Amino acid sequence: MPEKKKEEGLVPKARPEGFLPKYRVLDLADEKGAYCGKLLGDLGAEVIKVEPPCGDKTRFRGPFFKNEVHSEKSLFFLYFNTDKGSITLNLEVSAGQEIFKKLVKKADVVLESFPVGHLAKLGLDYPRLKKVNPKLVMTSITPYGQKGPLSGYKAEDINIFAMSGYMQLVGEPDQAPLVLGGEQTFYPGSQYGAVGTMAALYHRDAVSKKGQYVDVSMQEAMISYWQEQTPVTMWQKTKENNTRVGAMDAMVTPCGLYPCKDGWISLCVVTPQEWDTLSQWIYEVTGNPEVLKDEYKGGLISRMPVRDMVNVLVMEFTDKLTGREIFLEGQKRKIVVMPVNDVPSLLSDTQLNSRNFWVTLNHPVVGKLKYPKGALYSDAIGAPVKAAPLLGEDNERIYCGELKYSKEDLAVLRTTGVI
Amino acid sequence: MAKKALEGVRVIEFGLYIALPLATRMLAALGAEVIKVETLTSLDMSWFGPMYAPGCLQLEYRPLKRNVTLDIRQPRGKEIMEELIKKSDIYMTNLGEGFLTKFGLDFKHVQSLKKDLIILWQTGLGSVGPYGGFKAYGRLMQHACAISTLGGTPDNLGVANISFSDYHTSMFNALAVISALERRRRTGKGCFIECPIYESGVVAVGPALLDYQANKVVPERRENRHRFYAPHGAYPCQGADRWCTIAVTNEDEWKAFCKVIGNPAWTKSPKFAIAADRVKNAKELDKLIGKWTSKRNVYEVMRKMQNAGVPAGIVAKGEDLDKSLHLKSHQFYYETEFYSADFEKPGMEWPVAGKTVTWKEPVYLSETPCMFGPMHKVGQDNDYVYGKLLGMSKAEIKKLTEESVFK
Repeated sequence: MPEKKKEEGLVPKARPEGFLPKYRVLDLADEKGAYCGKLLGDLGAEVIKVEPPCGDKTRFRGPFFKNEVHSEKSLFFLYFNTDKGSITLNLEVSAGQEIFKKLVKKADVVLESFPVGHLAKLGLDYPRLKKVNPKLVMTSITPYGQKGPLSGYKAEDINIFAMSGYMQLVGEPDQAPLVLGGEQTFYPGSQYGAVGTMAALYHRDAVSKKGQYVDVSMQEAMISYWQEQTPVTMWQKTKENNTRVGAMDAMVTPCGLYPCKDGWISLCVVTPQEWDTLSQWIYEVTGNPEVLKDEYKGGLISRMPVRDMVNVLVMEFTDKLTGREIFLEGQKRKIVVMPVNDVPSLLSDTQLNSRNFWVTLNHPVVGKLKYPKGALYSDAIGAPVKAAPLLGEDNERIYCGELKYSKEDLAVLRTTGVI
Repeated sequence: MAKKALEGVRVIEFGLYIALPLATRMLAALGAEVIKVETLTSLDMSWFGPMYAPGCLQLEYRPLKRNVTLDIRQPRGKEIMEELIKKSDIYMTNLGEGFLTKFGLDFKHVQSLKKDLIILWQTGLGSVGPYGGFKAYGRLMQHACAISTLGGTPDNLGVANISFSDYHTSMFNALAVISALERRRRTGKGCFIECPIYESGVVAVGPALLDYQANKVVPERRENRHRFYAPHGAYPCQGADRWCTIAVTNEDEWKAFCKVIGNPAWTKSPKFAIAADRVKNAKELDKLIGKWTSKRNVYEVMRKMQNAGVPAGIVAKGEDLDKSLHLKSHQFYYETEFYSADFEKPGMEWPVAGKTVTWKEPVYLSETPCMFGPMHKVGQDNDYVYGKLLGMSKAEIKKLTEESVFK
């Protein structure tokens, strides 16, 4: 096992004591539930990835550090596994299953995202693990949940995105529906999974002293992430469906994405006062008195009949300034203007940097990279403290330290393919 | 009756729109007593949408919550808010610091009311820093968070007509306060947590943040084509605007896929021999697949692929969600009443506008299942909260109602 070097100044400040107790989470999840373990780990739980001897499959998911394909260099794995440890264990063989049950005795949570029924085949489903540890909380995050006609369906990010209906909304009106970038379906299910897991743990410790099973459907989690469009009600009431409207809002004008001198800027005008302010500013910049006409005044829907003209007037204005100029001056004038950031600009963003949002973590193989702190600011919650684990870095601590196997035993287990 | 995960926990919700009320909706479903405090003296525009069923949108934010009317801008209203907070475990707001301070509810003061109170403050671009206090909408936040630059076409960013990051924020809010409850149970300590919508969206940019640092790769807008998988896309099917997504992620799935479409000659072309070739020639590949899918029903394409073990899923529309036997088997949607807003009248007098569906929380807990049920009318719980909880007499409640403190 490689020794981890501690470098001066790289060890982040210790996490404040006791935001989450050292709940032990055995994390068997792949890309579908990795974020759930990260959320719990970043809050202070002890999350241990239990990986097959050759490594979790997300270790082989691109992109890779310097494009070098290597089990410790997947940036996907690095991103979703901060604040986790790692042991190797082959759950497909009976010796591995027995060892796993020993681990379950001392665990608070088992987190998994296997195809439905896989753990039952291995004798490691919730009804059986509950007998080993009645206080166990087990959380499954799968594309369509554990029950129902689609529970056996396979799904990648794009399939879940499509089946949730979200995809129907992304793109231009007369073009193909688009998947959002960045594999967005890997987040909502895990977020609900983390909330459900914490609720189950709170209930266990505060009330019942018993664990329970938490079943999350990624499809349904994703449906709830665009609920403001009330798609089913729309269908029932109008026999029509929501569809794509592109980057310009279909209900409010001006609202959407506008080209500016150095890229794009987004803005949205809802109240009559906001329009008065914006139109005055447009006039100052363009000198075109058309924009001040009474026919354009009013609240959020009053400009819809003259939508095209209004957008032309706004573009004539945004074209003359940089995104940053429009953002800062617009906000000063109390208009909702937001920059269009790309990945590099996020990493250098003055707001995020002023709040110490980027946390530098050192990984023994890939070195220092900046990771998001997370969305919660509190004296009680610390930042992530540890980069993703090396494969099996906690084997000795867990197998020898806790389960009392000797180093010789470990060598036998390794040689026979159990760990 | 089934047990509730958050039985006995009381939450005060003081705020508007999407992210905050969605978080408390989850807490209510988990069994917390959520009291939504609002006033009819300021117009909430979201009551008037959508056009086809004004008011139905509220079902997404209000099920199971208790609801009181209270104008905290009046001195007596502010005092009553303080009494309510003292009786609660969690106080959640997304109102501006200026507004809260102006009416005497700054956070330092609120924390002093109850030492072990958990306070969650949801902000837009954050409370401090160069953009501290800036105005933000979730619809535009997908641009600030760079999400819209991760996908799309060469000409257009990938944009959804949705308040993208509000949903991430809502779950961060819920996770934060439940974790804080657990901490309070152990340590007796309350805490103050801020959750900005901006940061909760940036987290969802994901591995691309590392890819730029390590490899200087800026995400390419490649429509539905994947950087590592092909075929990967939404393919046109029979009918207007019907599409089925297919994703082939390994050689077994590729073989199965070819078999489903009848092993046409082009599948043997060296251009598509291994995954790296297919990714390189994905545009051509997509066109050839489209020829096969466009002659078929969208459900037929999905079933044939799934039966062969190839990941596939239709681009669902509202009607597909409505008819889905799978969602029905989970009882994911349930039907309940919604109301027509009339800000000239007390909320209890607003008429029932109709019935429609809303969704249940997509988390199935075996021992403490999430609850679901109707939304309360605005002010429906004034008697319970002010009478039973705060111990006010009927006469006092009547007086404060007449004085518009409870408006």
